[in-house]
Amino acid sequence: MTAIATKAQDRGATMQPVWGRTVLRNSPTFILMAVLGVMVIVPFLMLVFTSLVDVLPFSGEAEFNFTLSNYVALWAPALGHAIANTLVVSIGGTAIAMTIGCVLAWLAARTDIPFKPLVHLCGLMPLFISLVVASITWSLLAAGRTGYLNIIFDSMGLPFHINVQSLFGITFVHGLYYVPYPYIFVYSALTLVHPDLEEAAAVHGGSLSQSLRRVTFPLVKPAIVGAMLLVLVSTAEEFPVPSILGGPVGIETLSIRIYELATRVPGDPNQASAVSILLTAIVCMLVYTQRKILRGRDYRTLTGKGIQVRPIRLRWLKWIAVAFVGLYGFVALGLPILALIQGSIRGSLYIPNVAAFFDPKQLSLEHLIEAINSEEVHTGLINSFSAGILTAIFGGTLYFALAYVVNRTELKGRQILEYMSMVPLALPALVMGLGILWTWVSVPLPIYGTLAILVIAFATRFMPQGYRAVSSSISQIHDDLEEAAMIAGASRVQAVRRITLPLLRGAIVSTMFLMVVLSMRELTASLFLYTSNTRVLSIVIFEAYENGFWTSVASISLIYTTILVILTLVGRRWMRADL
Amino acid sequence: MSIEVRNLRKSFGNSAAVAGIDLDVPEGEMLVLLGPSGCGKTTTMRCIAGLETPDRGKISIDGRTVFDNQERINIPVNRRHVGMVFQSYAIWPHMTVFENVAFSLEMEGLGRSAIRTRVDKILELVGLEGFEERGASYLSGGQMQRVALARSLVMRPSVLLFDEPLSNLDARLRDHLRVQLREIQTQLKITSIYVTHDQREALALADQIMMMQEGEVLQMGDPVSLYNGPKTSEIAEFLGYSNIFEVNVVGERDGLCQLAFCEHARNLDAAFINRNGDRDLTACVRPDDVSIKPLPVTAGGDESSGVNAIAGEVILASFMGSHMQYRVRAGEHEIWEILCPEVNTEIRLGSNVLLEIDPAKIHVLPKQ
Repeated sequence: MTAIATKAQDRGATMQPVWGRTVLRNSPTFILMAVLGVMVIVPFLMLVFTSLVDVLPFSGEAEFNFTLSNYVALWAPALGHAIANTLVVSIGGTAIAMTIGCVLAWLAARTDIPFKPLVHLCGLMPLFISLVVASITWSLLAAGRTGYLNIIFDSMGLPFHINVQSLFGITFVHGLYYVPYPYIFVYSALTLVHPDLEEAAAVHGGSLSQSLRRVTFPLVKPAIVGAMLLVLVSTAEEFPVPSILGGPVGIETLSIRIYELATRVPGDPNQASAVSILLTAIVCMLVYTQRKILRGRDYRTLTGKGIQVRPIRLRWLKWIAVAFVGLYGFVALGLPILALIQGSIRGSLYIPNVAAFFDPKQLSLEHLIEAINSEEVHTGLINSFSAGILTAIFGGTLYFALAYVVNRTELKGRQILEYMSMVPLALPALVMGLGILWTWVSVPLPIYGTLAILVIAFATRFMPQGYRAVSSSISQIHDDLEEAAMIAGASRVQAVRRITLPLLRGAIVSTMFLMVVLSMRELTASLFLYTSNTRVLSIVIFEAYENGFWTSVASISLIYTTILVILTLVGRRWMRADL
Repeated sequence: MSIEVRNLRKSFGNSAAVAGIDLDVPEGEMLVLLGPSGCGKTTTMRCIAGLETPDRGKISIDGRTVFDNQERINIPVNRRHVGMVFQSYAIWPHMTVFENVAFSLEMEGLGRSAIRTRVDKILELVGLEGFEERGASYLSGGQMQRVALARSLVMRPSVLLFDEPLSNLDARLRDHLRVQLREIQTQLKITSIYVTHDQREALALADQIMMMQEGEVLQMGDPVSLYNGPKTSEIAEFLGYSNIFEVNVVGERDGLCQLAFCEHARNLDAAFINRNGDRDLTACVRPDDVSIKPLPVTAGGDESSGVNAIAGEVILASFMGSHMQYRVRAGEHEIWEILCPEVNTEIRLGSNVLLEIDPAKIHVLPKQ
C-alpha cells in the first residue's frame, strides 16, 4: 500500500491555485459569447441602428441623425396589404401543411398502410426540394393559360384554370412543401408514445377512439403545436415563394417589401430595416407564443427506445389512405419533376397544345447540355458545395462547443449562450442577411465578397436546429462517462476526445450532413450577401429567373434538384429524422 | 490517516448539501456514508474525488492536501489518483472490456506489455478473464459492475470511492457482489469510502459507518455499536427498528423504568434509559427482539403474568424463507412488527398471540 501512496504523491506534484483557474476556466464562455455576439447580436443591432438613422452604415458619411421617419413611412396602405398578405399565406399554408403532415405521420407511425417506406419518403423528401425550384416549377405548371396543367385542362375541355400566381397559389405551395415539419415532429412523437400507455387506457375500459382522444392526442399535442408555430414562422418570413409566384402579379408580403426596398434603385435601405424590425417583431411574437405553450411540456423523451407498435388495421380504408399519400407525392414531387424535365428539354417555351408535350420536333437537349456545360453552373455548384461543407465544419464545431459548454460545464453565463443560440429562430433569413451585410461590409477583413460571409450566414441561420440536435445527443450521454475518464486520470480535453466525441460521432455526422443539404438549398440568407464571384447554385437559378431565361432556369433547376435528391438519398443513412 | 476531511462545506444555490463535515478514514479501512437520498453523502464523496469543488474546507488524501480553500489548493480530479465506481457503472459503451480497464494505465503512459499484464491480473481478480474483447455494451449488469471495479482497481488508487454501486442490481446478485467486494477490499487493504442508503449493505461492508442527514453527521461508529446503540429514534428507524412509539416515563420499579405510551393504552418496562433533558422520548424495538407465541386459550386475561407481555391479533403473516414476518395488532392503532426465526404453524392470519419483549431490548431514545 505504501507504494501506491508514493505513486499518488508523484502524480499530484503540481498544484494550481484556485483563482488562477477561474479566469482560465471561464474563457470558453467568453470566447463563445464573443462569437455568437458577432454572428447574432451585432447584425441585429446594426439593423436596429439603420432603421433609426437617415444614412446607411456603410455609406462613409460621418454625419447621421437619429430619426423615426423610417417607421413613420411604414404607415402606408401598401404596408397594410403586405401584412395582410403575409398573414393569409402563412396561416393558410400552415393549415394545409399541418393537415397533410399529421395525417401522413399518423399513417406511417400507427397504421398498417402498405408501402410504408414510400409514405416516409413522401413525408420527408419535400424538405430537400429547394423552394425556389418548387415555385419555379409551379409557375411552369400553372401560371396563366400557358401553364402545363392549364393546357391539359383546356385540351380536355375542362372549363377551369388553376392560377398559382395568386394568394391561393402561394398558400398552396407553402402548404405543399412545409409538410415535412409536422411530419417529422408528429411522427417522432407518435413513435415515442409507449404503447403501454394506450393499452393501459384500453385495459381500463377506453375504446380505440377514446384512447386516441384522451391519451394519444394529449401526448403528441406539444409536437403538433411546436410544428404548427415553426411552420407559421417559416412561412411568414418566406421569400422565394411569394416573390416568384406573387411578384409578377404585384402581390406583396413583408419579405418582398424588404427585398424591394433594399435592392430597388433608388432604394431605401433604412426603411427596409424598419420593415425588417416589424417582421422580426411578428416572428418574435409567434416564437414567444410557442415557447409559452410548450413550456415544461416537452414529452419527446417518454422512453429511450424506439418501440415496435402494433399497427392499427385500416382494412378497406387503407386504399383511400394509399390514394391520399400517392396524390400528395404526385402533386408535391411527381408533377414538379415532370414539369422540370419537360421545361428543360424543350426548344421553345411556347406550347400550343397537349400534343406538343410529346412532339419530338419541339424537344431538344440543347438547353440542358448548355446548362450542364455552363461555366456559371459549375462555379455555382462548386460554391454551393464549398459553402455547404464549410458551414458543416464551422457550424458543427461551433454547435458542439456550445452544446458542450451548456450541458457539461457549470460555467457562468452558459444559459445566456443557450438563449443566444436560439435568437436566429426569431430572425427572418432575409433580415438576418441584411444585418450580416451591414456588419461585415464595414469591417476591413476579407469577409464580405468571399464565401466566408455565406458560411457565417448559413451557420447562423441553422444554429437553432444544429445546436439543438447536438445538445440533445450530448444530454443523452451520461455525465458519469466523462467523469469516470477524468477519475481514471484523463484531462478534460482527453476525456472529451476519447469518450464524448466518439460517442457523439453519429449525431455530429448527421447534423453536419443536414447542414450541407440545408446550406445548398438555402436562397434567402444569401440574397444580400453574394457577389459575382460567390454565386451559389440557388442564386444562379434565382438570377436566371429574374432575368427571364426560362429554359435555362428549368435546366439548372433540374440539375440542382437531382443533386439534392441524390445527396438526400445517399445521406439518409446518416440523417436522423429529428431536427 | 489516509483520508482526512475538515469542515467541508458545499452549497447548491441556497441549500447546503454538505454543512461542515469532518471525517477520517484510517488506511486500509472502509467508511460507509449512510443516509436517505439528498442527505449530502454523494456530494461529500464527489468533493473528495474532485468532481465537485467545495465552498470551503480541507481535504487530504495520504497526507497530501488535495483541496484547501484557505491555501487555494484544488488539485483537479485527474491528478488526485482516486478510483471510483459509479452507480451507473459509467462503462464506456464504445470500448471493449480491455480498453475500458486499460484506459487509466494509458493515461499514466504505461507501455503496452505492462498494461496487458496489469489488466489481465485485475480481470482475473474480479472474475472476468476471457471477457477482454467483449464490447462493453454487451455485458450484463453484474459484469458491468465488475468491469467498473476492475477499472478502478487497476490504477492502484490511493483511495477507492463507491457511489451506491450495487443499487441497480437484483437482490441475489447484490448479495453476491457485496461479499466479493468486501473480500477484495479487505484483501487489498484499500482505503475506501462507500455511499449507500441501504442499511444492510452499510452494516455488512463497513469498518466505520457515518450516518448523515441534511448535510450533517448524525452519528458515527462501527457497525455493531451503531446498530446496538442508535442515538435517536430517527437513526434507529433508519437502521431497521420498525417498532417506534412515543412514550412518557411514569416511574421506576425494581431497577426498571416504567413507560406509558402517549397514544395507546400501553405500559412497558425498559431496562435503561438515555434521557437527555426534556426532549420527546420514544421506545424503539427491533422486530427480531419481539418474541411471539400463541395465546394460551385457557388463560383468559392472564396477560400480566410476564414482563412486557402484549396480547394481539395477527393481521399479516409472511413467510420469508429463513424467517417469518408478522404484523400484530395489539390495540386499535397499535401495530407491532415481528421477525421470528422459527416457523410456527400454529400462528396464522387471525390467530391470537402473545408478544413478549425483554426490557433490555427496549431502547428509549429521544426523537432527534
